[in-house]
Amino acid sequence: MKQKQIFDFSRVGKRTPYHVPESFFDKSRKKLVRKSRALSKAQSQTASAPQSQTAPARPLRPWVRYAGIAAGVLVLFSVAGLWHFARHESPVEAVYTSEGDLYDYSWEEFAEADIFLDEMDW
Amino acid sequence: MNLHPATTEQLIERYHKPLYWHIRRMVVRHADAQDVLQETFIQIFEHADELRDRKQERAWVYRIATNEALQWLRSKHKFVSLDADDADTSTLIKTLTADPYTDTGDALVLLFQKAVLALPTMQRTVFNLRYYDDMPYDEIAAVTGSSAGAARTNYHIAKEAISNYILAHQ
Repeated sequence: MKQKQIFDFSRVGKRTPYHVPESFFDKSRKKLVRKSRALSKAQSQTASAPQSQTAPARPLRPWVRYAGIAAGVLVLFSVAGLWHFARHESPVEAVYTSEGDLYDYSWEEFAEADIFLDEMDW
Repeated sequence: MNLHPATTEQLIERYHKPLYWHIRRMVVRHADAQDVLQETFIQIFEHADELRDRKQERAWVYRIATNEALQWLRSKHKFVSLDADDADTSTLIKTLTADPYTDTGDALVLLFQKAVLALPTMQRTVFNLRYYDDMPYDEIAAVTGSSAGAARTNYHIAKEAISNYILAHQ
């Protein structure tokens, strides 16, 4: 039976191909210390600064509130009314011809026909 | 940030080298590792008050460093996740040989690192923490947000994959 080959990890150990520029860690540590001190200083200044004096928002006066509600209702009804009239079709009048056929006239057509009949010389 | 400046300086003293190497093994390029290290320490300073248990300190700082490195890789390569098994690792291998701060003199060491970079992200992270930082499995689990059992399994699978890679490429 063939034995499975396994790589000997001790041939490499913990060596890696990575390296860093000379004195990198010293510079990097100093930079981090400076940054931490700056952050700490900024935080302590923020903590000691007086709290902002922003006043809370004043509640609206009652009449302003009621006027707002009334205006809203008015706008709502106006929109509903416009929508209703825009969709509403003219009524249809049933008119029978002399042959007994049924004609459907809209009010506008009926009014036009009426004028036409008036102008005719009977 | 509720830490005393002396404490933050102790953290820098204690972790800036090991965290640099951990990040470097993840992002590969020296310049990128430098940026991620700075970002990691800013996160450490800003969230220092969230560290309740001092015994968890190492796992906590490594978790921040791992997350920062993964976030950086994601922003650059858009594929990295600890849950993804199909990470496109060829980019990292190319970066390894292209970086001026990579020593290409020892062929076996270079091949070993390529084998590590060919691992899926989770296995690579677990392998690096165990192999290079000698971290116990329960601490690795705290860093990666998994269980100690899963960390152990990932480590052994990673070791076998590295062995196979080297034997196939030698």
